[in-house]
Amino acid sequence: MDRQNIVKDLKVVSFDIIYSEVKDILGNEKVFSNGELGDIFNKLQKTINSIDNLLGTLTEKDDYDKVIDKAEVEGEKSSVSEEIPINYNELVNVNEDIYTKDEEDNNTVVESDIEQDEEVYSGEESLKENSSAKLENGSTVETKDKDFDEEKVKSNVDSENYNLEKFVRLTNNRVKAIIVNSTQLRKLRESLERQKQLLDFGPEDVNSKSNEPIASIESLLEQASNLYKEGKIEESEKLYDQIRNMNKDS
Amino acid sequence: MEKVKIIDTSGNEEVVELVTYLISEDNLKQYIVYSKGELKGTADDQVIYISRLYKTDEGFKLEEISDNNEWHSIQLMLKKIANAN
Repeated sequence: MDRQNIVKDLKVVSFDIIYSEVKDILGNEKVFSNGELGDIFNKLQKTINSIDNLLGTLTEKDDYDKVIDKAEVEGEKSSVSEEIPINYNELVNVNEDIYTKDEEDNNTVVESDIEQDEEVYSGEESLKENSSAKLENGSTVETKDKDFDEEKVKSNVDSENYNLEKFVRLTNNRVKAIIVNSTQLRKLRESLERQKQLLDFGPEDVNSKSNEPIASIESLLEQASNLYKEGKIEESEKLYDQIRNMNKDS
Repeated sequence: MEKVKIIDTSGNEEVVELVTYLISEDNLKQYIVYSKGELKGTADDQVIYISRLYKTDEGFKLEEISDNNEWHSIQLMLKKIANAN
């Protein structure tokens, strides 16, 4: 049943109600008082209002459906249109990060006269805060992602960090920095053990290395002295010469 | 990957990767090369830091390089290792 038929039926029904009401009144009492007339008008008014309301509701419902549909469509549109700025903002943020890094990195590159073919560039540190944040963030993510007992991990990390070799900076001057590719970094890493051995002092064997020559010289002196006492002068002198050379080297 | 701790003049500690050491040809100067794991660019390039290294009775001390000639010689040392065949 379409809307026009409903309205038509309602009009017929309401007319019947009004007609029966008037007919009852006219049938029972042919003289109307002002009050009775007022009641009839009130009933008529109510009926008309009811019809208007019904019609209004029908109209509103029709509009409401359209509004809902429209809202759903608009909602879809708005959700899409909202995503775009969010994504856009994220992109902007990421780009800003990259830009910031690039900007800072550009600041780090101070020596542009390094040969490009050697793929080694140089610069000065200006990323200290960023890099430390990275490290901190990285370790936080790592412990959370692996779902470890955070306290245990933290204590392990603390104890590991406690045992690390310490290097104290004497000044706050900028640290010289250089950029290397992965192959170069690998080669530098591989050279670590060899370079440690070349150092006059090694982190692990500083004391033993520095004490070794002293210990050996002392023992040779004692040996040379004993040889001299035993009358083996030539052997003793050779040994003293050897000690002199050792002293020169050290 | 060996880790060491760098402590700045304010006492702030930072754990970094010890990459290698460099020793000058005359054996008089030592340098530490370390990394904070900072990637640069798209080809996994990394930033490494270099400081002059001293051994004292109180431990290892770092001093930053300010002399350009010294810095140039350090770059040559780095290249010698990093670009070795």
